[in-house]
Amino acid sequence: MNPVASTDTSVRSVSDHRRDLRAWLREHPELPARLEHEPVEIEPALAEEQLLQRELWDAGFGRRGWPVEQGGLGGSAVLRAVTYEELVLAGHRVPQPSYTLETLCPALIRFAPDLASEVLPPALRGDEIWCQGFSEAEAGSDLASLACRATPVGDDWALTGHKLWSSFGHVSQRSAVLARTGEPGHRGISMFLVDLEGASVETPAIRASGGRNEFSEIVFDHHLVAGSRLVGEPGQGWAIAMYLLQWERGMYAWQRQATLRARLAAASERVTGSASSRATNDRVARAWTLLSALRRRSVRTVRLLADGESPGPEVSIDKILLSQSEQAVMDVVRLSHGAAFIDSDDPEDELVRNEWFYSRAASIYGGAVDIQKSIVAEHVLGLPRSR
Amino acid sequence: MTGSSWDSELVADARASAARMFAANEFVGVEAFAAMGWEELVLAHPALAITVLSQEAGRQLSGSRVLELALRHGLSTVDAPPVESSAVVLPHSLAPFHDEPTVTGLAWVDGPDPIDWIVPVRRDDVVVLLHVAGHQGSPQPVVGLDPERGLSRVTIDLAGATPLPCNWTVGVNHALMSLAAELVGLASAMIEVAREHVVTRHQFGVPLGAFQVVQHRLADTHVAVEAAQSLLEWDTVDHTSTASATAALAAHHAFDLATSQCSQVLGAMGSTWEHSMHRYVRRGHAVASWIDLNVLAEIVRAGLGAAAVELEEVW
Repeated sequence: MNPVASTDTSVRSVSDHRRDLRAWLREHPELPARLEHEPVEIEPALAEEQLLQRELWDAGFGRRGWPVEQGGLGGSAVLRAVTYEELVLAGHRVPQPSYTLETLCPALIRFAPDLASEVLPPALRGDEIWCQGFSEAEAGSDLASLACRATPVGDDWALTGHKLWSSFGHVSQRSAVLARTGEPGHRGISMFLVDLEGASVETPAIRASGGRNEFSEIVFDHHLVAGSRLVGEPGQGWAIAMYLLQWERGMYAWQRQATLRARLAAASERVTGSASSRATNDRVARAWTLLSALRRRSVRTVRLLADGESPGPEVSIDKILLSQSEQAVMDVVRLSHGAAFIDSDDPEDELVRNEWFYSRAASIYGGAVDIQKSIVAEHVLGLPRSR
Repeated sequence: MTGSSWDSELVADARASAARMFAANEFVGVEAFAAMGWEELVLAHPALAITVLSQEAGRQLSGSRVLELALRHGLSTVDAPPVESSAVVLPHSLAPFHDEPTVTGLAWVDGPDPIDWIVPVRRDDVVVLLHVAGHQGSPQPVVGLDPERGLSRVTIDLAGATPLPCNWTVGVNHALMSLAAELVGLASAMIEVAREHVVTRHQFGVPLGAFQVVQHRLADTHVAVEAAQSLLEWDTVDHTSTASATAALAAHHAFDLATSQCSQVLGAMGSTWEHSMHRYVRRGHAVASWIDLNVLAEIVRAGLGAAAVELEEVW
């Protein structure tokens, strides 16, 4: 039994939550966002997933693990991790909007609790999609050199700049934007929760190599942001970004391993009997090995974060394992579709092509693997600073 | 062990005790295990004890009977002669011997007293242990790739042997976890040796470890070691074949990577007899020879295909 602090008296332990949710999912097979019926285009896929978020929220399960002050029912963040895994085990997709929320919301709760109380419920209920507004053309791995600027206008701020690679940005209502409010370097950066509406902001979609609109640009031209939307203090943006990246290493990795496990099991079954060769066995076993290690590691990281501790530079190991797992699993999925991956025009195969291409970017998005390796070398192994 | 559900104090104590034992003994056989109380710890906390012992044996390049200890514990054969007066004859890749009049395998024969043989044989699709009188085999020390293992080769006449039932699959699962832990111990020691070199040796006026290409080789290896390490905690998974196969595959990969990457960053130094690297490489290949990667990959495939891979409740 793992006791949890919760105002929902029916949830005395993680096991209770798992059991209740499992039963509820079994009673409601009509719930949307099935794994096996994912639309090829991302917009309708996201819409289905928002409906699933709403059902979960209204039934109370989506509120478990979020603080009462922000509309949740309280309890450890571990409850949320269980929710995601149970969704996949019941044949549902992990709602993609929750990927972003699982990184942004813990940071808002920590650094801007009043703002969080106001804005979290509609997002967590799936009424809104949020995105990150971090990267720029020449501020990717070198995020601290970002140029998007926020200037004071009375009590408010005006944003001008050009963000890139914002996942789901073109369908988002709000964005957590990192902008320069002071000196060059990481000390002069602040974070704002910005509404993406009005003539002073544009969010053109960027079509990814697989064909889906995975991300977008965000172009601000003197876009006004209320002073109340500053997250934390001016100049605190870098610290907030570093805090939320830990959640991206932890919870996002956990969400993905749940989905990838389902993908690998299905792919392995697809090739049983037919193209079952030693080469296939080796690839499946390698993917499974990586995924198993990722699962163990992300359990540890999520547990530390849920307990309010900091997992430290070792989370870069999780990130590297995540990108290796994504690519190894999707290679098995690609092979399991055989010739259909090349010449089928079925939506199912088109979706696989999409996902396979996107998995190639897993070693780039959220912090390039090359950077993670340098962090492991210098901050975990204690090697000298690279020249 | 980070992220472990094992009692961290117990792990730390066991690790310190194992480190002292391997440092004090050139070969850790039956007597050393008994003197240090390891047999009791194996009974009380088998997974923890076997993992810690095997990993430390790897780290210190010690010859020991820890693999046999793990195998025997898993076999749980009640009527087998005790380890003080018997040796298990180990087949290649831990695949049981065919039921033939004589077999040849490897064994540790370190005790002072005469011993009997225990030989795993496949008979009518079941693996049994044959208890054979000591005089029916004469052991010869093996030099080979890794003389420091302390193994002997023995050919045994199986006439008149007494068959004993055993749980061979569970025994092999325990043995695989031991082998995985030993490979992880070896690979982490190889990283440490390489790290020491690249922070002290300079080229172009800076330490070798300041070059990104050197850093990334060691980071890649460390990630593989940590991946394997995370799979070594295994008492929560009920010793399934899939869990032990997964851990052994991950550890094997980590050792392979350590061999190539650590050797490379050691430069010419690592290519000398004087440097310790070749001893790690020798031991690792010897340890890995007990593992059949194809069989393990098939186990994983079968487990996934039959949906037999139960998700452990980790929270």
